[in-house]
Amino acid sequence: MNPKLLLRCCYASLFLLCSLFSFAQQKTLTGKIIDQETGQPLQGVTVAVKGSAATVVSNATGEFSIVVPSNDAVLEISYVGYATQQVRPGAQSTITVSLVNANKQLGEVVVVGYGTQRRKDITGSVTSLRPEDFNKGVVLTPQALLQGRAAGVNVTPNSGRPGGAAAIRIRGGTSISANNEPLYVIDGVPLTLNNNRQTTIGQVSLPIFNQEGVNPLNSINPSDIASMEILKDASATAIYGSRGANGVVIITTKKGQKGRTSTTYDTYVGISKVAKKYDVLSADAYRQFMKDNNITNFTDKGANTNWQDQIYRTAFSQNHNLSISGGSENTTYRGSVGYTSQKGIIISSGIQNFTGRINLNHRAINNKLLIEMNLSGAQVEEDNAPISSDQGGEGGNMFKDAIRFNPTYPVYDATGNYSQINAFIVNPVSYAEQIEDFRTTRRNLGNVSATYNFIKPLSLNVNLGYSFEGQDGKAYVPRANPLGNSFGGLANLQESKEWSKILEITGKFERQLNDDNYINLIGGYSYQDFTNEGSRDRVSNFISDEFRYNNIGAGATRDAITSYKEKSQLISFYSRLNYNLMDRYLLTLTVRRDGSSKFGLNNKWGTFPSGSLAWRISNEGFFKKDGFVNDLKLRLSYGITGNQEIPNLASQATLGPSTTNYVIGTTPITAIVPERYANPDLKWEETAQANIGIDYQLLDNRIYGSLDFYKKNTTDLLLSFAIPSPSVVTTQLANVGEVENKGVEFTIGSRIIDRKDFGWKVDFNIAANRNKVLSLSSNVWSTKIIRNYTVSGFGFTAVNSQAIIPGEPLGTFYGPKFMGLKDGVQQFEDLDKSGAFSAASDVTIIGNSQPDFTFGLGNNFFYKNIDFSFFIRGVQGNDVFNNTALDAQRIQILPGQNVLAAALNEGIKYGQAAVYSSKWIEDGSFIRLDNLSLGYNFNITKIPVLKNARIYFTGQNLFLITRYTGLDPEVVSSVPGTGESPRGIDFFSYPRARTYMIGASVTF
Amino acid sequence: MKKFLTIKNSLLFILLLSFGTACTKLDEQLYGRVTSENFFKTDAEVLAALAGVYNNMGFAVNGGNLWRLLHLGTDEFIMVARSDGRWLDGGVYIEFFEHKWTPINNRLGSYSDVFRTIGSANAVLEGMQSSPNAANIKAQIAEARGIRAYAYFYAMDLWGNVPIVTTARIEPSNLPETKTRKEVFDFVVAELTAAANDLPSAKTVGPAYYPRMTKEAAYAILALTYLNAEVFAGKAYWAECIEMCDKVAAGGYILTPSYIDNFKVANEGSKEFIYAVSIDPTKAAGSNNFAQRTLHDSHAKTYNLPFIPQNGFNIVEDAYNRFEAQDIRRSLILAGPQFAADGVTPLRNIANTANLVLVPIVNPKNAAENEGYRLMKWQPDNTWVNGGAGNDVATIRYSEILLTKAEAILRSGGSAATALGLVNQVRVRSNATPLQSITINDILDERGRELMWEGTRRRDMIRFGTFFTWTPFFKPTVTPAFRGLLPIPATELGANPKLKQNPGY
Repeated sequence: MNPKLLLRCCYASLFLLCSLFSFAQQKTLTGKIIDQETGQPLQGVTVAVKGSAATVVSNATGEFSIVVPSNDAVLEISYVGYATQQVRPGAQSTITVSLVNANKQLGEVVVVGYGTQRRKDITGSVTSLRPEDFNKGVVLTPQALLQGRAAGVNVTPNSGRPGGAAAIRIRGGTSISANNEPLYVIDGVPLTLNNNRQTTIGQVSLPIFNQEGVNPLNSINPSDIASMEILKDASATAIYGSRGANGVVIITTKKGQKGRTSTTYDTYVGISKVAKKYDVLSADAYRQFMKDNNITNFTDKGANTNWQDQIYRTAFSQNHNLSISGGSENTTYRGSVGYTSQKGIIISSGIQNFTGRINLNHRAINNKLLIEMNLSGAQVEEDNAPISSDQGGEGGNMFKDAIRFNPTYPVYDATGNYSQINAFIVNPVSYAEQIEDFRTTRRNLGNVSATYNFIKPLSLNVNLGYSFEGQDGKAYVPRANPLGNSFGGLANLQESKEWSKILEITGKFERQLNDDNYINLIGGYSYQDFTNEGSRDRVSNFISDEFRYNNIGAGATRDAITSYKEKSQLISFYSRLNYNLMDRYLLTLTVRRDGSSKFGLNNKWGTFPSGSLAWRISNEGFFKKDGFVNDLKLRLSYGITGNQEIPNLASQATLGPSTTNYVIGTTPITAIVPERYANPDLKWEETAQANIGIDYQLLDNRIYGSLDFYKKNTTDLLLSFAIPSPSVVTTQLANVGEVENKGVEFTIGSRIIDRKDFGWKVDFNIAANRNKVLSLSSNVWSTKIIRNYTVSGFGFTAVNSQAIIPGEPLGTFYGPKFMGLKDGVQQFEDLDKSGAFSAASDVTIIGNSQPDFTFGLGNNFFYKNIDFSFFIRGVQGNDVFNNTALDAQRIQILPGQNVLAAALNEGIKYGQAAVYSSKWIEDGSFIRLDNLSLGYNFNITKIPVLKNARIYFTGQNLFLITRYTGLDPEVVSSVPGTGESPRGIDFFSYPRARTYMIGASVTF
Repeated sequence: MKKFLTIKNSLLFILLLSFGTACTKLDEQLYGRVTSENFFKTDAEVLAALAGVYNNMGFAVNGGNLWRLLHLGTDEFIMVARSDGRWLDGGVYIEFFEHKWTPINNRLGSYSDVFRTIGSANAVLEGMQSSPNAANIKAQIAEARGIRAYAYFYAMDLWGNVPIVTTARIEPSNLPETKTRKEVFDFVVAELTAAANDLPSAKTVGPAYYPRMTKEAAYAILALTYLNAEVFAGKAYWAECIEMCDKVAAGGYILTPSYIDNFKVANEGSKEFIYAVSIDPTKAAGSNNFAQRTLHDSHAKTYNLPFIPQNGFNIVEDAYNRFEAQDIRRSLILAGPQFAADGVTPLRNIANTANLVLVPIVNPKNAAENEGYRLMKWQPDNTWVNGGAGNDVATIRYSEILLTKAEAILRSGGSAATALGLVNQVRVRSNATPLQSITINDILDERGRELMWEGTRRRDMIRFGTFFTWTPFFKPTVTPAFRGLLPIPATELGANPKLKQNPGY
């Protein structure tokens, strides 16, 4: 018998032993505490004698020594992140206790909608991530934690802006006009995330402002998250019915642990620098070009200014989290406060997050009643640099002007003022120092849930939740700046509020009928409403720059004064049956019936069923458990889910005020105009998804993973149709069209080395998704092609970069095909053989922004107290439209604007206009070292109050391997107002940083 | 523990209450919006709805895409691609000056601007006609019909063969089909004639009515319809044209003593305006952007502009060359060396390397910043709002009616002396030498001088045939006749398969 097994036996028979040997005698007990799974010694574990003050803490080798009053003494062994254990050592003088990692415990149990399930019983496709799986570094948002970590979950940050939003696509995008973001459920409360883009001043001929939405999740402190579950297939998401089509991300926050109060303080400080700069013409190269080309009509102010250096900085970030948790037998609590400040690598930008959370659990009435309360609040303060990656934008902004501002200009002229050219190209430093754009977001989220267990198998849960998000935007463009000069100073003040109330009543019947039959049935009712309201004032013509948004009454011109309110309701009935037969055959049936006020009169209610089966082959008698494969489960599922993210009132015929008046006599008359036609048939988009997958464990669980194949068909796509003229309403939303996604996801992980003092664990995931638009027609509406996403930059008004075409994926680039140069003139293929090239008609498919596959590779090592990890992420086969180069890599804009240095090598003759074509579509494949972390756990045995102390160093975005010539191929340019953001279009996005940080964590 | 129990109890009680009231009710609340069922009740509400229709007529005057269509390809307006990249816009304007436009040229999308006016008139008409108040708002109903007919006049002029629709809602299952230009002509004539009966005369309405549609405005649109009837309907209606001009004249219009008065900021209610669109950006009521679009960047100094103009709209030098030097109307054109506000200090170019001298168009596909003469017709406003001015823009002035009558008389073999008198009335006002005799081509030229950038040049050149025969260096060949109509935009054909493309496209 090997010694390890012997220890296990000892542990298992502890209770037996202590009843046999019981001497009432004080003695010194020594012991060792190890992790049950890894066998690693645990340092800092609290060992207390119940009913006495005696407490010790285990040392670096997990050993402890404590005086116990008698053989009847009970030891309470607690350690943060592990389940607390009570042990009766009895007559033993040496014991070994294995603690079960609380996270691992969670790992066994997976949070699914309206309940939990054991991992082994799951029949759908669900990825669970625990804190140890999360990305490391300066992370402000939960989305960033899971980037690359889950197969089939594609997280693309819009830009490098601190706290910026990210687009998440689970198994590809299903929708053209509605939202493609998954549903987020936080501690049981589904959040309304319409990715609210607070439109800014940008809409009046001043598109300089950041148009990226507030990241709705950046009010959740990543260090409060205990787990994230990503529900991918219909079997898993159908319980969320009309909101399940894009997948569901369930975030569960950390709860208190029974035992002595434990306090943890985490902190880090980091520095960030821009990872890559554009190579533009230096002042000397600029002058040389003019000389070489005999251009004399340019301005040379004699300076040599590198404008990018003027706007970049080494940015400092810091984070502090303090959490306290603990509890008694019946009540546990965890409270935390967090503060993160991240300065942007561009001057005058940054974000500060303040978060607070209290989670309380209380059991009463002989454990029959469980009350859970989660309350959180956050305030996010953004200072935005005027950088807009708007599709279609042709104006300047701080970042763009840093590329194209004349390098011979000094930052300040002889009189100490900013040297300026005109309102089209503005001194980049003056943007930062003169233009203000602040946004504050406040979010409160709270729910109280009570579960009462009437009689053994029956329980009832009532969940009441409330979420609130308020945003305040304040911006000012002063008269002193050329941009604000034409307005006489322009102030914008706006606020928007969204709140949601939810009531859910869920009944549950759970019973192990006998050895072979287990049943779990839930049924419930849910009511949720969502209210948005807001207002906006934009005024201009200030006498002085002192008034700004603080006193908008001082502006003589009221440009826009608007307010709005909208409300929608979602009412649902849902039920799920889990049945387990002989631990071999598992069945899950789900149905949800959703009614939404947004739907048209004829389609108020939709039903979303799903079913799945799993077969645990490894539990069959014929299966040899000691073979190569020791656990194997086959899963099959099919179901229907929906996407109800359609605008409010879209089915109603209404009249509303036009934004422009009409003067009759001398009186401006508010024009009341029809806004849309009624569409009583309007409804959700519907996705039918089939999934087949296996979960496997090999070689004594040393290798584990899963393989899934899926096919999703989305029908009744919401498309905005041009209503044939003459119509007062130009477009109407209708349910037309079909999109298909199919793909494969594979994960494999291995504990390659699994020894007491040395371990190496590797996790790898890879996924491929193929997206295809099947149809854009119904029996009523029909279209062959939808051109979208206008090209940005000077001279590209109304030129589209992408198209939606049946048979092709969403995000298809569409334009002229570049054939090379002839005598310095760009040649394009004459596709319609008309004899001459026309940018309007000679267009074809020139690229695809969807990747062939994406992958993530994580490595974790530890050696004694030292741990080391790194994570590599890659995307292959996607195309990126380098709109930045199209706009800035053309010599014909010289001398008025500076250009990217590569423009000199283009060979395009001076004076040739820029044309959007396949020339600017580049391979966006990349491999990135996302993060690398080295940590050290202190030996804290000599400091009894400490339970844990750790320091670590992390680097983020350390290298990027790509052929893409821009700064970074991972981009999503933004869309003003609402609408799906285009992927794979790079237009002066806020550049990404390389970050180094050092952090520490202590628990006592 | 007791405490939790009571909280739980009260919680449950609240839950059950809310459950009971909100179980399955899914009505959508409108919050700050109205429906047509509860609107059109008062005169003010009717006027608010009409204001929306009038507002849509802005397409004809605001320098936007439809206004551009009315002038592109003519000898008085050209948009060139600048070498700094501005105004290339994918080459759509190049297609126009080369007379090579195709149905996918996105500027044609302003087809929908015209039809939106028709659609909104239809919606408002339906609301008014079904209102219990319908009998008391006959004049307002006539206004909506009049504007609808005016919008159809533009559709007939530019696209010719278009669907005629008088219902508010377009059903995808019953899409409207193309009617011939002749049918549209008959519809326009019938509608304007009917509307004129119920509309008030310009003589009876006060300044508070301006710029709503009057009886005379309907007659004036009819006069212009008849003037072009050979093009529109294949048949001359000279007598009807003259009759309509006379009916307009009975409304008491005059030529203002100064031509420029019609283009000042405070031009509201000019006695020369027969139909005009009111504009006042300080009241969030439209914006006159001609200065912003046409002026060179450096002109900001000349006019003390609080914004940088866009260097976009130009006139072709032919239009400049038509004038005598002393003609007041020529003084509105900017050509040659440019000066600051003092009229003496030379303006510098954008890069401040040379004095700005505006020269004729040399390379319209890649034009230098100083190419192209400009028209600064609508006089500068001192209260610019985001680059826009508040000058109203007339679509029909009395001088056009005089020239129209003269042309109809000449073409129908009437008194040349009468015609000469009418034309000289217009010329003398602007200090041009009175003509001694008159030919039909003199009328085309005079219209060019008098009505430059006022929406009539394309129609006039087509009526006289010069639209096709004019061959500047950037369009060296004669234009085929089918280009007298614009193509139905591809997007419209896609949206409505029942539409027929115009011949030749």
